[in-house]
Amino acid sequence: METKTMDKYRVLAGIMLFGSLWGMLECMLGEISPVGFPMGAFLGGFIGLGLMMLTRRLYNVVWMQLGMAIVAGALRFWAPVGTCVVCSALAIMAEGFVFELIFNRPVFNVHGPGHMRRAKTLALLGIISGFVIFTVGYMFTQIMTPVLTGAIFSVDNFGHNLPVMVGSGFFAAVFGGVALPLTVLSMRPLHFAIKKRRYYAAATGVSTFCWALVFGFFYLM
Amino acid sequence: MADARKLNMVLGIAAAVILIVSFSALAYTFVPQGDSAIVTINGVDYAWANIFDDYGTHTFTANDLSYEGVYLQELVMDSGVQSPEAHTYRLTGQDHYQKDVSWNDIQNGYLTLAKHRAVFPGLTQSFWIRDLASIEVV
Repeated sequence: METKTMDKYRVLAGIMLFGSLWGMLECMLGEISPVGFPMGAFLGGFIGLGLMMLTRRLYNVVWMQLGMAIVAGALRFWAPVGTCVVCSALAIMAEGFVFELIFNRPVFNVHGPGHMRRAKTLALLGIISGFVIFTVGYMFTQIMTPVLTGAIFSVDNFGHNLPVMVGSGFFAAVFGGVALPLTVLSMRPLHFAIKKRRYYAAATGVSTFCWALVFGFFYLM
Repeated sequence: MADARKLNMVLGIAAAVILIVSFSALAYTFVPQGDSAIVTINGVDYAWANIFDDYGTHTFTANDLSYEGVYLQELVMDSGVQSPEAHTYRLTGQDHYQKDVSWNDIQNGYLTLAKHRAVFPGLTQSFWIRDLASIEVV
C-alpha cells in the first residue's frame, strides 16, 4: 500500500507529528473534561480514530498508525491525569493496534475501490470501528490497571462491568460515525508539494510544541 | 457495484447491532440498582441522609484534591463483619459498576458526601465507585 513517493523519514516525521498531537489532546482534553460529557469516548472515537484515519488517508502507509499510538501513549505517560497513567498509555497503544487490525484488511482500504470513499459506507464503518477501538481500550484498562497496580483483578467484576463498557461504547460509535467520513472525504493523499525542509521544520516544531505544552502544563504550572 | 451494495448491507447490519446493543447497555446502567436513598453494607441498610451525621466526616486528600467523607472501615465494622481481614469486599454502584477491594483498601477508604462515592486514595480511580449501592462481603 506504500506509495513510491513516500520515504521513511517523512513517515517517521509524520508519526512524531500526529502522535504528539494525539497525545497532547489526550492529556489536555482529559484534564478539562466537562461534567456529563463522554470525554473518553470522544478522545477514542473522534480524536484517536479521526487522527489515525487522517494519516492513513494522507500517507497511505500501513502500521504508521500504531507508531502514532505509541508516540501518543508515550506522551500520555508523562501527564499525571488520573492515577494509572501507564494504563491509559497502554490503552492508547491498544487502540492503535486495533485500528491496524481493522483497516489493514484490503476490503476496508480507503484508497481502494470508490465505494470506500462514500459517506454512507464510511459512516457505517466509523460506527463499527469507533465502538471496537474504544471498548477494546476500555477493556484493556480494566484488565491492566489491577495487574499493574497490584490491586485485585476479578473476572466476576469484569463480566459485571461489561454493560458499563459496552454502554460507553455507544458514544464512541456515534463519534466514529462522524469522524471517519469527515477525515476521509475532506482529505486527499499527500503528494508532498511542500518542500522537504518546510515539512521537517513544521513537523519538528509542532511535535516539540506538543511535548513542551504537556510538560509545561503539568510540571511547571 | 454489487460488491459495494453487499458490503454496505453487512456494515449496516453490524452498525445497527452495535448501536442497539450499546444503547441498551447504556440504558441498563441508568436503571438504579436498589434504593438510591440507602447503601447496603453486609446486608445492613444505611440511609445516606444519616451516615455523615452518625459517623462524623473527615477531610482527606486524594489525587491532589480535597474531599470530605466518613471512614469506610467504621461502617464495615458496624455492619457486623467478623474477621474483616479474612474477606474481600465487593462494591457495586447504582450503575452496576463493580469492583473488589481488600480489607487493607477498606481501611484506607472513605465514603464521600459528594456523589456518595467510595474513594480509595491508594487505588486508581477505576476503583472509586460513585453512587455506591452496596458493599458485599465475599
